[in-house]
Amino acid sequence: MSSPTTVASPLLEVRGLASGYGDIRAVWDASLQVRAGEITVLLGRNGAGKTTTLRAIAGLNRADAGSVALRARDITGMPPHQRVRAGIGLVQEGKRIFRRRTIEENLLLGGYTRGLNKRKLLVELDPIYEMFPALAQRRHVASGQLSGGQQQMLAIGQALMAQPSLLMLDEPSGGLAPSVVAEVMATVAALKATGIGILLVEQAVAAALEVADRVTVLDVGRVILDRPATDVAGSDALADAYFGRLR
Amino acid sequence: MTPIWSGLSIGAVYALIAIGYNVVFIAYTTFNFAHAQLMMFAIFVTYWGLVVAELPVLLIFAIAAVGVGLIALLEEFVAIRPVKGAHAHLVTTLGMATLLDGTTRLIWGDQVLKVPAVGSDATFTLLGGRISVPEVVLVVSVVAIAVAMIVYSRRSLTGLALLAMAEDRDAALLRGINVKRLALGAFVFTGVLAGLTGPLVGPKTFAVSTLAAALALKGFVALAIGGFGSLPGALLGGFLVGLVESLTGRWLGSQLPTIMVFVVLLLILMLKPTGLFGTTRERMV
Repeated sequence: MSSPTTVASPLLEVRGLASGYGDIRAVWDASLQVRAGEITVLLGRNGAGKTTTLRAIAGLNRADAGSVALRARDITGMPPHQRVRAGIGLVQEGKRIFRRRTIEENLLLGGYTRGLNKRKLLVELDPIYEMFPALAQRRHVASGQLSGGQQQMLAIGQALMAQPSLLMLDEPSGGLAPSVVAEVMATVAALKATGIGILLVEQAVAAALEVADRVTVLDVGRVILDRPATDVAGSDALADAYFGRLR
Repeated sequence: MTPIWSGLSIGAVYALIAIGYNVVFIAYTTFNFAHAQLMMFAIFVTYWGLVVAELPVLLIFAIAAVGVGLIALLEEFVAIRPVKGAHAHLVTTLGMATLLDGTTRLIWGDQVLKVPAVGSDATFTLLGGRISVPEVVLVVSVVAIAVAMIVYSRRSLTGLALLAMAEDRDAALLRGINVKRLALGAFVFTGVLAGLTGPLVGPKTFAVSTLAAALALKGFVALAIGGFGSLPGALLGGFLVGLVESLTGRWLGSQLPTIMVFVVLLLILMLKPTGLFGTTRERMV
């Protein structure tokens, strides 16, 4: 457990996490950290346990071992809806918005934990619409009809409505055109500048490394690399991790 | 016109049952096969309050709402919460239904008991057909309740949260929605609603221990016609079943109403398998 008195204690500290689905274990020993105003990129091959790690941090999957701490407060046993109130936001893979609801309804639902009435909450949507003007024009359209890029913007906007201190994004560029991927990454970089800590899972490794402050690599449910991004850039460490020469 | 008024008013009862099924379906993606029993219990409580204990009307509404709401609360803890999946709930809620049927018989016996109207029971002629005041009150109340629920589910944050939960439970959890508590609230609400509407339904159906079985069947047909999960569908499905039943009985003979109800059900499901207002479940990957 990190000490709360340490000034530089990380926003999110995951230690020795093990998790999975029922009897099937997908993550054996994951440790990572995210600092406020920084981006930790979580890499790994398909099936390495990245999504399970995010789901366990969000509380959707139970932690079978290890601990999750947010601002040095242990939240390992906390139910998922309370973690949202505690400041954890997860944008799931595959643009999991409420497709039958409109953009506006999706964003309102994003602010569900704010404890505001609907009228006040509607005003709070303005910053999200400013950030994603395309959403503002179509606010009453069923979100299932939006383009993939717009759905991803909506998914991020929805998570931001809860005012998270930690935002986790699971492959936000998945299935999007290259120009849209650049837009998503620019959004992620802009969010970092606001002081939010970001944990980013991404297949588009090059694009992710451009915004990364820290890189963690998972393989078969275990962390095999965990370094500042500056150490990884231009070195063979990442390729070594991916191709298994580190072990 | 008399068979039409009669069909609409019994249809309102079916619609109420279908709405009860629907709210639980939206909240749990499962069915509460004891819902008609909750309604029946409320009707017997009304009989007891008006005829046996001779209580003031408002008190009867309150007792029925609180009492049946508590039964629903109990049911959620013993029949819904401990097991997962619609198949398991089929068994547990049918068990609850049997228990409530038996309890009703133990307390009130097997006789058909006439439930007086809570207000005027005058009959009058409307557009050439005979209709009673309680029937008008019943139809108007059910339409008003359904419309209010539809508006609430689309306009309020809690209603939105309920619809979101029905669409994607994990995603709802990630928005900070306490899905267990919200679902429990919806379940208890169906009990309270059955309690509040029991006194309106009683004069139409009478109180008899076999009532719930009949209401459950027709209510479920109304639900299937309207489409699982759709409140407007439940309302229209209920009226349609009531009208088909009443008009068939009037024009084709008294043996045929139930058969015709199922013929209509099959026809609609052949033309539109999801029901009139149902939507298919989809998920993008």
